Parts: sequence; C-alpha cells; structure tokens
Amino acid sequence: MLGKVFHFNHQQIRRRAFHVHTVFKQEPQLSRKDKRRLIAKEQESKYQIVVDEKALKGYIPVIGLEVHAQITTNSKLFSGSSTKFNIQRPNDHVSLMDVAAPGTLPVINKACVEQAIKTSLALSGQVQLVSQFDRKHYFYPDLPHAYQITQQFKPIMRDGHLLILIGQDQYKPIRIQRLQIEMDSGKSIHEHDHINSLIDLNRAGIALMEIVSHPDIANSSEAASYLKKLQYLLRHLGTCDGNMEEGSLRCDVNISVHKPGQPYGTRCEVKNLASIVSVSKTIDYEILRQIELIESGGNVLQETRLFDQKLNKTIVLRSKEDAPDYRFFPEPDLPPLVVKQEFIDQLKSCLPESPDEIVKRLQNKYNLQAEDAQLVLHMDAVDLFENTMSQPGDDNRNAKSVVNWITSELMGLLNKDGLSFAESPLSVQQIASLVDAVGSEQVSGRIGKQITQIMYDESMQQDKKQRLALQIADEKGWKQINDVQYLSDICEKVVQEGQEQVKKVHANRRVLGSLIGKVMEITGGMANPEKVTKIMQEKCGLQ
Amino acid sequence: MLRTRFVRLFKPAFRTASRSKLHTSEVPISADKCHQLAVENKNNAFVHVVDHNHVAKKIQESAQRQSPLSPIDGVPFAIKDNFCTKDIPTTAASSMLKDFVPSYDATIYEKLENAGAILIGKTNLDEFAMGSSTTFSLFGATKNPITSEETIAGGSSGGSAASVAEGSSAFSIGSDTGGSVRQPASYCGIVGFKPSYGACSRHGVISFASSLDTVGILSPSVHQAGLVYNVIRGQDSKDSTSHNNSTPYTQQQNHKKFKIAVPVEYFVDELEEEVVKVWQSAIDHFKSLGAEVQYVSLPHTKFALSAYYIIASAEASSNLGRYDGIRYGGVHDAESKTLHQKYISNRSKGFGDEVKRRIMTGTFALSVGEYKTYFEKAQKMRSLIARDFQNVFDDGFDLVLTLTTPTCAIPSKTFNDLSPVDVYVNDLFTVPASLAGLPAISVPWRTENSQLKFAHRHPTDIFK
Repeated sequence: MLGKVFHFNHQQIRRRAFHVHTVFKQEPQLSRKDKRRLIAKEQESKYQIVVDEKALKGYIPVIGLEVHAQITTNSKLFSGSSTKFNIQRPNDHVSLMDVAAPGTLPVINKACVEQAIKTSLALSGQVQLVSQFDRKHYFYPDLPHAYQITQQFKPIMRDGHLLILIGQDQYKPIRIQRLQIEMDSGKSIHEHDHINSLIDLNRAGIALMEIVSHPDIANSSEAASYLKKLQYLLRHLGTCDGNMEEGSLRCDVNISVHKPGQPYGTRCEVKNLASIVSVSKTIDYEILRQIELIESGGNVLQETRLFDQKLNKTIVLRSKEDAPDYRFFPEPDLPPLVVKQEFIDQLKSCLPESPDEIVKRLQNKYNLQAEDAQLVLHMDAVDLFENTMSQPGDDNRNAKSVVNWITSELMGLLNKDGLSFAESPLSVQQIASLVDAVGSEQVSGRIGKQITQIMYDESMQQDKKQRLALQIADEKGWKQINDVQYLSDICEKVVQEGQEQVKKVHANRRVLGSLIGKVMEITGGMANPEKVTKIMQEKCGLQ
Repeated sequence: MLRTRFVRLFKPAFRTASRSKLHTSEVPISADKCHQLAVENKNNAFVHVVDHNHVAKKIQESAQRQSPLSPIDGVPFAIKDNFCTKDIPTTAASSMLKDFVPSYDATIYEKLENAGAILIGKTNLDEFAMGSSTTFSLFGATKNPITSEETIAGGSSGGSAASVAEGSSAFSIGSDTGGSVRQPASYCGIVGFKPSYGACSRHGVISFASSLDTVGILSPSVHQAGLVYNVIRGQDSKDSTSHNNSTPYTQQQNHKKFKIAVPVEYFVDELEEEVVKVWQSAIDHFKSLGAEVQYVSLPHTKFALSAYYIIASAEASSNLGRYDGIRYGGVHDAESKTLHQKYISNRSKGFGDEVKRRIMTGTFALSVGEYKTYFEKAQKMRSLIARDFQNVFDDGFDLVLTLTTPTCAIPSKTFNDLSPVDVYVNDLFTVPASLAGLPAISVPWRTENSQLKFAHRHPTDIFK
C-alpha cells in the first residue's frame, strides 16, 4: 500500500513540474519522455481493425517499406553546418549552402558516407564502389535549392536483407532493394501564424539514408517486426538514433492486394508515418479498404495517401495524375562517389556484433528461446540483461526469469514514466537480488512485484536509496516462510479447527483452497503457497 | 540558309573589325586610369564600379609592398557580375538578383585579391550568362569598343571583354559555358582563355550549367592570361569538381615540333573562300614555324550544338529553380494570394526572355517522357564528342586549330533581327571544347583581322 501512495505522489509531482515547465517555455514542446508516454498510451489502445483469414477473403497483401533514417553525424551531408540544433531556435544551424545561396556548391561529408556504408554492410548489402548523386526537383519553400540531392540512378547499396522472426525460431528474410544517401528538406511551420507559413532550415541538408525494401512483407506484424529490427540495427550501429516520434526515422508504406495466381494489384503509397503503431494501423486499414473496394466492384487507384491518426484511416493526398514530375538527372556539381574496397573492408572489420549474432549468442550462452532473445534485443535491454546475469549471487540464475522481470515488471514501471532501460533508476544489483530472492523462494512472486515497486519509487527519490530485495523484505517482514515444520504446524492447527471442511475436501477440491487461504491468512500471506498446498494435500489425504 | 547568313554576317564584320588600340604587356596600366575609364563606362562594360577610395587604398598598399605578392600585384582587373563578391552587389544582370549582395567571396576573386590584383568593377553580361551578345542584360547592351560601326561585344562575358579592349582593366575574369569567354574575346580582338573544366574553382560563380561552367580569363596577350591562370588555377575544397591535374603556365619556349590537327567538319560548306583563306594563313604560319599540320575528322561535331543546348538548358532549368523571387532580394510580388501564384508571378517577371526560353527547354528535356529522347541522347553525344578529341590527341596531335566563331562581331542592328536559333549557331565552333571539358584559347589573328581559336590540350589536362 505504501508503495502505491508514494507512486501517486510521485506522479503528481512530476505532472506539476511539467506544467510549470510549459508555462515558462515560449513554445510548448512535448519532452521526449512525454512523447514516449503518449506513444505508450497509443500502443495500449486496442486495435480497431482485425485482419484475419476471414477478413482477407482469400486476398494476398503485398507490402514494401521505404524508411528514411537521419544519419547520425556532427555536420550536414553537403555543408559544414552542425546537426545538433535546438528545436527552440529555428534557422540557427544554417550555412550558405543550406539556403542555396547563389554560387555555393555541395561538398560531400565523408562521415555520412561512412555511416551509410556501415549500415549497408549490416544489412548484408552490396556496397557499390561507384555510386552517383542525382537531383530530384520540386518547388516548395522548405527546399531552398528547388531540388533534393539523392541517389536515384546509382545508389550506394543494392541487394541487402533483414531477417525477421515470424514464429518459434522461424525467420523470414525481407530483401532490401537499395540504400541511398540523400539530403533532408527544411521544415514548414503552419501552426504558428494564421496567414504566413514559417520556414525552419535547421533540418535542411541533414543526411538521410533511404532504405527501400522489396515487397516481401505480408502483414502489419511483419512490417512492425521489420521496423523494430531495423530501428534496433541503426541504433546499435550508431548510424541513426531511430527516434520515430522525433522524425529521425520516418516510414512510407506501399500496399497492394491480389488473389493467388493473379498479378500484383495496383499499389497505394502511404507517406510519412511517424510510429510503428501508425504503420501497423495503416497497413491493416489499407488491406481492408482495398479488399472492400475490389469486392464491391471498384478499382484501387494508384495514389499517394496519408494516415490520419485521429480518424485511424488513410486519406488521399494526391492521385497519379497529380504526381509531380521530379525531372531526375545526374547532379553535375558532384563527381561520382567512388569508394575503395579497402575502405569498405576496414569499416567491415570495425562493425559491432550484429543483432542476429547477438540473438544467437543470447540463445546459446543463456539457453534462451529465440523469442525471448529477440524480445531483449528489441527492447534494447541486452546490456541490462547481460549485466544482470553476470551479477554475483545465484550461480544458476534463471535467464528466462531475468527476461521476464526486466521486460514485464520493470518495463511496465518505466513505461508509465516514459523512461527507457538506459534511463532505468534500478541498478543491476537490485534486479539480480530480486530475481534471486524470488528464485530461491525467499520471497514470493507477488511480493517480488511489490518490492520492485518500492525499489523503483525509492530510487526515484532524491536520496536515491538502492536497497536490495532482501533488505526490503527483511524490513517489511515480507520474507516467505519456507520452514516446512513451522508450516506443517500451522496446517495441522487449521485442519484441527476445520474438521468439517476437511471431510468435504474429497468431494469438492475447492475446499482445499479455502483451507490454504486460512494458512496464508495466519502467516500474513508470507507462507510459501506451494509448500502449504503440498502439506495440506498430505494432511487431507490427497496426493 | 546557312550560306546567306554567313555572307550577311561576314561582310560587315570584315569591314569593321579594324584593330586599333591594343595595349601590350610592356606598357604598365595604371589602376587609377582604369578606374577613371570604368566610371566613364563609355561602352557600358561595367554594371558596378568599386569606390575610388577603395581602389586608391589598394594602389597605395600595393606600391608600399617591398616585394610583390605575385606577378599580378597591383594590376587592375574587372570581374563578370556573376562572380560573388562580398558586400558588392552581384546581379548576374538579372532583375531576379538586382538587390543581391553576397556575404562571401568567390574563390577566384579571393585568390586574385590575395595576389594583390585590384578590382575595378563588375562587368556586364547576358542575364545569368545565357547568351552570346551581352544584349540580354538588365543593364542594357555592352558596346564593342574596337569597331567603328556599332557591333555587339559578344557574350556572355561581353563586359569583361569590352573592359580589357577599352583599357579599363589590364585583364578580366569571365565565365565560359559554351564559348562565353572565347567568343567575346574574339569579337573584341583580345585573348580569351577557357581552362579545362575543373581547373579553376566554380565556388561563388552563379551557376548556369554546372557540368560546363568554367572560369575564363580575358587579356591582351597569351602571356598575361598565363600569369593570371597561375594565380587562379587549382583545386578548391569548396568545389568538388575542381582538381589539381592542370598544367601551370610556363613562359618557356617549346621548340618541339608541333603536330596540329585541323578538323574537316569545321569547314562548313558555306564558308566563304575569303574566310577559309584567313584560316589557311594561320595554318601556313604554323607550317612555316615547322609544325606538322594535318586534316583530321571529328565525326560527331554536327551533334555538338544540339547536345550543348539540351544539356546546358537542362542544368540551367535546375540551377535556376532556387530563384523564387522571395529570397536574395529582387522581385517580390505582394499581390499573389497563393504560393503557386507567387512563384509564377515572380519567375515570369524576374527572368528575361532568353533565360525563360532556356528554363522551359531544359525543363522539357528533363521531363519524364522526354528524358531518354533528349537528355540521355545528348549525354551520349557528349561522350562521343569527347572521344573524337581524345582519338585525335591519341594520334599524337598537340592541338586542334579552328576558327572561334563563324563570323566577326555582328552589327547590333543585324543581331536584333536574328532568331534565337540563328544566335545559337554562333556557338558552333566553341561548344565542342566545352562539352569535352578541354582547355581552349582564342587569340586574335591580326594579319587578316579575323580571330582564330586553338582548342589545345595539355597531356595531363583531360576533363574529369
């Protein structure tokens, strides 16, 4: 109970702090934590659409993803401007090249190429020794050059793939067509002013990797796995921070449906999806929309659509006729991008362990199942998991339990506050002590959860107490009673007092429950329920 | 049709191109005197003249130096108004940029300043360097200083050429995309040198066609052009297409036996006997010096002009997309209600006819249905043209000798009656070297009062 009260106060304090924060800031911006909290909430909300066998009506969906990932570097792709800008100060990190000042020319940032090659290698792709930049033209105020420099004709990588887990130890490769380097546009801000749109060019010229998959994805959950895996991979390599809510990872989806044996249907593109949940919802919605359309005798039109988060549906942005003519042609201000094989080999030798290798290692070293290993990986909890496993204490600490405590209990608490594992206030010693205490039956699972809560709340306090599980259990008198003799005595007492009930046990097994309940009541809930059950069964002559 | 044009254009040109006041390298040119002439601006060569106090200060600084910074220390020069000069207006002769004052210096200008050369002013040009007459300018046409009858100065670096010819600068800097330095140099009776593509930095040069744009030098003599070239050449970290592969100029007399190629494709059927004679006299001259002259074939020459206009216009349509009339000063239409209307209105008013013509041609050549038909074919032709030259050089030739233009300076009146395509034909002999990225120099051929061009090649100097 105490824990709950603390928790509540704590939340209140945080909420108030945030309120003050927003009052003083000129432009209220959601903090990263609050954004995450919102997304966690969104994830909790139930899907309104179910795409099952019945709903598919025999159609096969074909899905491909285009992911735009901002490359993590200190400076922009073609100018020396810094990429580390404060969202509150528009147009603060802008060079003459970024504003397309007459006479300025692009000069490629080697670090961006390096990052793109690392990513390409991690996607098992063919890094092209000669690639080339092209111009893609369109008029918009946040694109000062009136063209985006991209790699339309000769991308830096072709033919990669990503393995996604689709069932018990069952993997599916999603082929990746290409990875191309391109520059980001600026941002148009329409909300600030009723009449004018404002332009912030801080983002203009930041390097992006566009990663285009083949249409190998069959449904929304595969798309989600693909994105999660890719997101993890990019973070793991340090080539993109992968924050979808902040726009450093954005996704366009291409979807069509067709009947088996028939050619692919007309595809629709849904642009600018900013969360994995939106991607899943979009795919589910589009699949059903297209099937319904075809079933009712209509035709799917090739068009670009947007996902409306409020309405949970996609809406038309433009039809094929309105599609802009981008007038691609080779960028004459940049010579072809030539990379030496030695350079690629050098980067390859410095690559960190790949996610697939990590999963394999976790499986082999800790005897985890693929799903659990993958779960740890995707939740970004590999370090936390491994550090917990390596803590002194129980030599046979159960890996599966560690996964469970981390990914359900701890994750649940962190989610409420919008924290990541890296930001977890609990130490690995604490987590290990908790798993050990429960594993050795010194506390029950139920009490373990309460202890987790206390640990969490305490470490969020200013003095940051970091007590181990047994210290808390001792103080609270929450240690599980495992003493068989002692328990046996209590059971005996209960049996003596409840002779009437004992007689009914054989007829109605539920009565045993009420007898055990009495023992638990007497021990203040601290008796080991398994042991009590066993003793009680013996006493009542049940085996 | 070609025949009549050549007859019409050549006759008056021969009559008027009497060379009079060409200054020689022996006579030092006073920056003060240059400034005075620039302020006078008799031929409308300048669109902006630097403040006299500033020039005076520079002269004094230069005079006080113990040892000169370079061979061009203290030498007055002019620069085309499409080179960015910090705090000095840079308009590209377009109303789109009429209020544009750059906040940085073009690399070439920076190098010249650091070498002690003294800027007199910014010179007139065809809007965004698109043209070969210096008549399509926000500031009006530049007159040719050396002809008695009023003729065009050529272009697009007409202001730069006129400035050197009239004596308001010792040398000048222009840009050459398809002949914009060589052709006006030829019309104004001076030397015009277009280095290899990439030999000089384009950083700070307002782009017209990025894959063809080069910085060029206009000067009274080859030697002076060489001295300036040594100052401005070299790789620049701000221009990815620049390189250090070019050979610096040396005064050394090369007594090697030259092997000179004369391309038969440049002998257009319609060329008059007289003109052929001029060319022949140059050929004979080289022969008399001991050179070996042979006729060669550059079979793809006939495609050069179309390939050039497709590529140059396509790149221009892209490079000029940024001029929305909202940024960089210039036109600003407050009437338009929507963004789209504003773009249309600003770009319709802000660009001149010739620029709009090229933007539209280029946009068409790059559009989805036409890319393969036009742009891709033009690119192929470009490589074939480059290979033609390469073959000739591989056969041991040192240079290719051609005329710079099919005509001498055209009278302004005649010029105004020409159709755009007739004007484009003027570039017939200059665009092949541009497409191939080769260095080319136009030098006056005084004996016959016509101009000749050498497209010559340094062994290490082949386009990138």
